[in-house]
Amino acid sequence: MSLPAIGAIGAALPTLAPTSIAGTPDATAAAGGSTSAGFASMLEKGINAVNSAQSKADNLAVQAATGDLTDIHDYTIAAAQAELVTQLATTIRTKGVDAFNQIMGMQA
Amino acid sequence: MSIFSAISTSGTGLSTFRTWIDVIANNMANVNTVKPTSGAAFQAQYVQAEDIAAGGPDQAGGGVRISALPLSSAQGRLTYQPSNPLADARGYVRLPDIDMAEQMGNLIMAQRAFQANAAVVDRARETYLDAINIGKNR
Repeated sequence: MSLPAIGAIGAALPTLAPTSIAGTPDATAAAGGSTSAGFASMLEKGINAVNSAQSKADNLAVQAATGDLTDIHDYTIAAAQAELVTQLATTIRTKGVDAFNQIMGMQA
Repeated sequence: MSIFSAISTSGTGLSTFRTWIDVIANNMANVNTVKPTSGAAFQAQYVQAEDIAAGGPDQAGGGVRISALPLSSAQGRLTYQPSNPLADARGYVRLPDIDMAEQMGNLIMAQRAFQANAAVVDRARETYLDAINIGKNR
């Protein structure tokens, strides 16, 4: 069953620019190759973007702890972006599930 | 332009002004660094910044980056200090040509610009959160 309305919500899921931190796995780029437009793959792409933002923030947190961090704001900015991407993804997921539940609850 | 681009754009400003403060700190630290006349005086560093061009005519620019850190004159100030161990046969040494008032002025500008960019990051975060929270209060 395909629900274009839910797919459209999935299309709005965030994509972050590839991370510039050395050693960070670039999950966004890996997920970008997928061409199917289902809600599940959209959600997966979004989750990967969240993951990449969080691992970038994690990496910088480690650098801060080990004293390798040259720019304090690099970490705080990455943390803010990870927070925003996470909130956006969870908001979109909630909206998608809400839409699905409303359709499932339809009665004649 | 990626998502939440205002935050990363302000980040380039923060990096630039952090470097400016670093450079001023180095200049200030070396304000009394004496060199013999046979070599160059301590050369103050200056920050040369350039904008990161927009991807297209309908897109916002990408922020700022440092293109070079030019040096002040190697001549310095020739000063008569015959008792200085580095003095040449005529008693002269080279002191750096650093204007303390100018450096202090630059320091204030760098600090204020850094604060302004940090304020933009905070404001952008609030704005993006407002966008995410659209429709939450049903």
